[in-house]
Amino acid sequence: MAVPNIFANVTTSIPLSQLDTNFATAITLGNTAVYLGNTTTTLGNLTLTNVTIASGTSNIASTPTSIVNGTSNVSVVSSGGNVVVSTNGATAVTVDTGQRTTFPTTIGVGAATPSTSGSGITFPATQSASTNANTLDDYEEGSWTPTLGGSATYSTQRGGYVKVGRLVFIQCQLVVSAIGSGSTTTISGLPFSVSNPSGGADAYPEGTVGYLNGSNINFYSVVCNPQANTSTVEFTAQSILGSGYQNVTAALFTTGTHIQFSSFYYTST
Amino acid sequence: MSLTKQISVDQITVTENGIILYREVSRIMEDGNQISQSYHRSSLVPAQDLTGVPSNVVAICNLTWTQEVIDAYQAEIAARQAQKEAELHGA
Repeated sequence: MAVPNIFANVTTSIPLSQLDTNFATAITLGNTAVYLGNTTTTLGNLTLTNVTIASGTSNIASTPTSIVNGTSNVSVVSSGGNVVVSTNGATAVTVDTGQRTTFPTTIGVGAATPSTSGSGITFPATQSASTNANTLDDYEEGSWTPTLGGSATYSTQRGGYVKVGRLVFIQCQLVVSAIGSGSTTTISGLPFSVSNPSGGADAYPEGTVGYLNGSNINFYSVVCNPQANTSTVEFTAQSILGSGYQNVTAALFTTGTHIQFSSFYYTST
Repeated sequence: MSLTKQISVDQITVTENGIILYREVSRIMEDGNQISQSYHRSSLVPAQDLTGVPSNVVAICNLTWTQEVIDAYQAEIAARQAQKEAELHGA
């Protein structure tokens, strides 16, 4: 009876009669003698494809085991049942025995290059939108420039935003030097367009005016609404009428107006 | 050690009704390596003044903002304003 061995395109057979009782007879791979018995064989420059390494009772040895690439200092080590992947001598990923995974620095998703500062999740610079309701597909923060349009000029124009998935949070501080032909009720320049309400989920968004000084009219309160299908926020003054409020259709902003507000709204993706 | 700041438009979005949204990315480079970056977003509605807007964005605006698009956007805004007025007078 012969034991078949197939290496590359060469098929050979080693007759059992040629193997000793300890299976210590060597076969040759390339120029390296490989022993079938208890003798340790070290192979170099060997490429394996479609390899499965399995153990019937314990997939990972309890004593540290490693696969090491000496030149780039990459290792996969089991320690106490955990799997630890390291690069440059530092832990990159740990999977514990409960299959919980720990990343000590940053993770890039959607082929994003992980940030080199801090720890966290880095999303692609250009969103890859998901239609799945349970998938967080975007995070971005930055600034925007609030404007009244026309010929209005300002001494302060500051805006910041954070986008998490479809949800956008904006804040703004605007101080008008000269109103000119600028809008007296609308601030433009939002960082993302406001989605069109489609049923209850999107509802009509409202913001909060935290400070408004130097307005054109007296008012009791001011409401602000990001406008659907636009990149603008509309402001409406309210006065007290009897026991309730009444919206006032009048110019609100003028030269010298100082307004600060914030708002949440949905964008389309 | 050499620090430089690079600003470029890395994203331009055109919405269905002609609003142009674009993002500028500012990168702080040290000896050719990026050490930080930040985003600034802007939006432009049809027929808005384009003074100071980056040229590649202006090119997209000019292409997008046909008279038909401008008219439709302004009609949409006018309709919304009319609706608001009606709600106010009804209050």
